[in-house]
Amino acid sequence: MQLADPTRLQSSIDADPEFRMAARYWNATLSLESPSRALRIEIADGRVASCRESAPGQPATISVVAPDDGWAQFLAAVPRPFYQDLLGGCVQHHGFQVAGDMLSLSAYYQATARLFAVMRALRVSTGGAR
Amino acid sequence: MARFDAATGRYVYLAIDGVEYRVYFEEAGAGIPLLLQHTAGADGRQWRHVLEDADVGRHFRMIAYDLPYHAKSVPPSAVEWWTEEYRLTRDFFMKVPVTLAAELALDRPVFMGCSIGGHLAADLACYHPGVFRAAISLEGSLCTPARRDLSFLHHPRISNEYRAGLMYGITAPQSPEAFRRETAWIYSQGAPGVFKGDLHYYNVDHDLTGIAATIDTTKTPLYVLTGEYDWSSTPTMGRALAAAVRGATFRAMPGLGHFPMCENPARFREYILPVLDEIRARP
Repeated sequence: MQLADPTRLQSSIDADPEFRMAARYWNATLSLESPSRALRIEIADGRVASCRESAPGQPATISVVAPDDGWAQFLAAVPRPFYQDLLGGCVQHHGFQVAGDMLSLSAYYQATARLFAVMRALRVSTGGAR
Repeated sequence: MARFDAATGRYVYLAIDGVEYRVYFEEAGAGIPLLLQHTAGADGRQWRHVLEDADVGRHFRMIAYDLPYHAKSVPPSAVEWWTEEYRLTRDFFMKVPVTLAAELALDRPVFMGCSIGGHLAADLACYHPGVFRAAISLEGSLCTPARRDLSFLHHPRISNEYRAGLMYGITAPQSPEAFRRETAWIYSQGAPGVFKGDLHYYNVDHDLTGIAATIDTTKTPLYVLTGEYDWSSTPTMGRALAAAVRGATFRAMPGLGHFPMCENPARFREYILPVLDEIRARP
């Protein structure tokens, strides 16, 4: 499944005031992956430098891998229990896999959570979220 | 004329293991004493909505305290705390409400705590039978072993925003956004190392596996309530604690997370008022 339209996501994230505060000084590449496709987000000095579809398995600062249904649950308008959070909920209870620089992910956990919140809002606005 | 909150605050000195602690507490209401214990790495502000609840205050004298090393209960001046890693132990943790109740001359108070406080409710019922009129365990369980490396909770390169963000993620998405944010805000203000140190009790020192059955609910009734969205001490784990204790009760709280009293106080009171009514009706 497509997690988000890359162009819309980039413009939405860059316009999001909370993300811009939480992501200050951040340099990282995020790869959000399902078995068949990935969304690759490059962040430079706290701004989204690029956002595009790519193949899964490419090197990244932080990779999040989940099945399509897991992503659908995670990005639902009102997630079911434990899908509301990445590390504590989805990783511990729903089989999501997170790899890479955990220090970077921890330091920017708020920014990451905000990114997912914007993705969730985009899915709702396009009718993709249940 | 100024509009005042119902709670008033003051300090009391508690001597525990030969050390004097200056402990801050806020109180409201009158009647049966009700001690309120906050979660790990937080403080008594989490109870502000309950303290303001006139339906509770009509029958209960609520006392929400800051555990030593938390918020206004600054570290003891007689201890070189800066030379050692802060670590909350079960033994010390239990002594705080027991000593506080004795110093305030409370007559068999009710104890209600959340998360580490929920664990403590069960430990107090187990190790101090009859001292408390009843124990209410919010988000408590038999044990909660750590599921991942906790070093990032106290790391020079990671700010308090991490703890706040992580705790935001354990609230329920249905809870009011302002209160979810306030819950996280409190987590952004704890002293470095205190949250992680509290988790020593949460992850290691609290373990009632094989012991919970010794709790005598004729001396201290035990009520366990768990939020549906609590991925740390889950409803399944809360139900297991209650099942291990003869006479204990369990109730899941749909639409709530790990911080029921502060993330959604209006929803929480629907679950807690019947429990308090039942405790009040007991002889």
